[in-house]
Amino acid sequence: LSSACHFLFAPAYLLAIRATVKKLQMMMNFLFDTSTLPVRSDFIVAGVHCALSTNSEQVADCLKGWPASYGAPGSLAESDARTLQIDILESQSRDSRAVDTRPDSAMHFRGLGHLVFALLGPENQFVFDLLRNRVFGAVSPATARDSNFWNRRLLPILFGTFGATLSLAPLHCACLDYAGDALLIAGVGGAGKSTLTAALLQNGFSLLSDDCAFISANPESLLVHGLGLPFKLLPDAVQFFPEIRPYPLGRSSNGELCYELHPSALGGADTKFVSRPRWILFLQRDDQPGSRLVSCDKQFVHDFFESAAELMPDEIPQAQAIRSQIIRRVGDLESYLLKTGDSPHKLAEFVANFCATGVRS
Amino acid sequence: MIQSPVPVYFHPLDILQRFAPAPYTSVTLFSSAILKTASNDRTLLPPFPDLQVSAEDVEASFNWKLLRDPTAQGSIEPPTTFISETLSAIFMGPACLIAADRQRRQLFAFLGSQIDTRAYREHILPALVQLSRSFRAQDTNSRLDSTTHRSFSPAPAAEAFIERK
Repeated sequence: LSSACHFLFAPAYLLAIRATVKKLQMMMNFLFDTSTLPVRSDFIVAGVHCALSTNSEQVADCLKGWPASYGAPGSLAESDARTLQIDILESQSRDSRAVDTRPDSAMHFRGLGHLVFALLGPENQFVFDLLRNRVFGAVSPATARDSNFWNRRLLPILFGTFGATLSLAPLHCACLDYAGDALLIAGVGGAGKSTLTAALLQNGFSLLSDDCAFISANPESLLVHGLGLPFKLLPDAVQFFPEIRPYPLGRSSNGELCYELHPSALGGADTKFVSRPRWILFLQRDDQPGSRLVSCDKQFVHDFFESAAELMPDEIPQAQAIRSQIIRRVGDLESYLLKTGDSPHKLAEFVANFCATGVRS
Repeated sequence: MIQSPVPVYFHPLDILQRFAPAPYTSVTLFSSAILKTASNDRTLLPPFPDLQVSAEDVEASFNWKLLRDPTAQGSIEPPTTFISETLSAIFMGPACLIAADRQRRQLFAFLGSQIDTRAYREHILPALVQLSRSFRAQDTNSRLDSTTHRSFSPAPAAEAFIERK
């Protein structure tokens, strides 16, 4: 009756039976266990041990660019608390046409308690278990081989969603490295974080992230992690950076039309993946030309990041505590309000001088 | 277009809609056990025998949280199910997302506004019931496991008896 619905009749009944398929619903079942997930791979992202189990060599290939260890031989996982188990099944029966990577194509997220549903396109479904740090997903063959999907789309979603359950505090700010020290640039929307970030890339800074920095803490110090993602500039940034005009415009994960660029597009250095946070600048536009720094206190920093943090369910109280502890320690960094009426390039020179002076001292 | 009886919920720090209010509750008898349900839509409360007690007064065997999601478009799509050691999930498109944590005996669902009472009773509720029965099956299995375990390793009281003897 269809490719998925068969009836077999003895010839004598052929004239007596009539059947019509009115609404055919195919149920797809995915069982996640060791027998269905034979391919294993371990890698480190943002200081977190990711343990991938899948039935797809292609998925493992897409993620093999990440380091397999923290550096020291045999020290793969610092502790189980910072391990993210990722179980992925590639379904051969799913649509194998080219994956639709438009961010607005059927992306849908919902969460209740410790469980999160994620639909990333019509063929890719995920459940995140924040209590046990586990991801379950079923994807189409086209998605399985799409490196962009895994590295630029799924990983940022995973780390943004799991965040503190992996002992990472995701902070909404840009982050750049200068000679081994990291500068966090925070501020309200429209303050100019992205254009300042772009201009700093032309002043000796390396990019960690343009919109979300992941902070981890050990007893001695904080670390800030990036995911090696491109940075985004809105179309009107062309007035400050005409060199980006030849690049194509695309849609970002929040649906905005923008340029997604590698730092080299502005003549900048490569991206960095980890650094030590040292300074925080809270960018504020000012009507007056010129730029000035005003020192701000711990409480301001704490309140700024805490008030912008996502609400967390009661099921993961430890994660809430970890995030709050990290945000409190971020308050100990050198923090300033940066009031400016300057262009991004002039402001970047001012910030570069400030950081260079700090590094020398 | 079916009008949802539930207003659209929005909180800038709750993009997953975890904290959408669920003011309607029920305590019902399901499969000889107590089921507590919370929802933002009275029509989603399960049609099981009501125990006529306050949700605070009893400890439930299962907990369901069923949210009507007015922003989830579309109707029920062919189901995809995930089964792992601890979780079961059923995806029927953005308008029907169900997940159950069998260890914690919790079940969560988001249902779009185009899923009417009939579709809910005919397609969704049986799925919720089946998932909840899997909680019970797991209970039974763990009880069987512990019984088996006891037959091989004596309980402390029995050990004391053996020593005395």
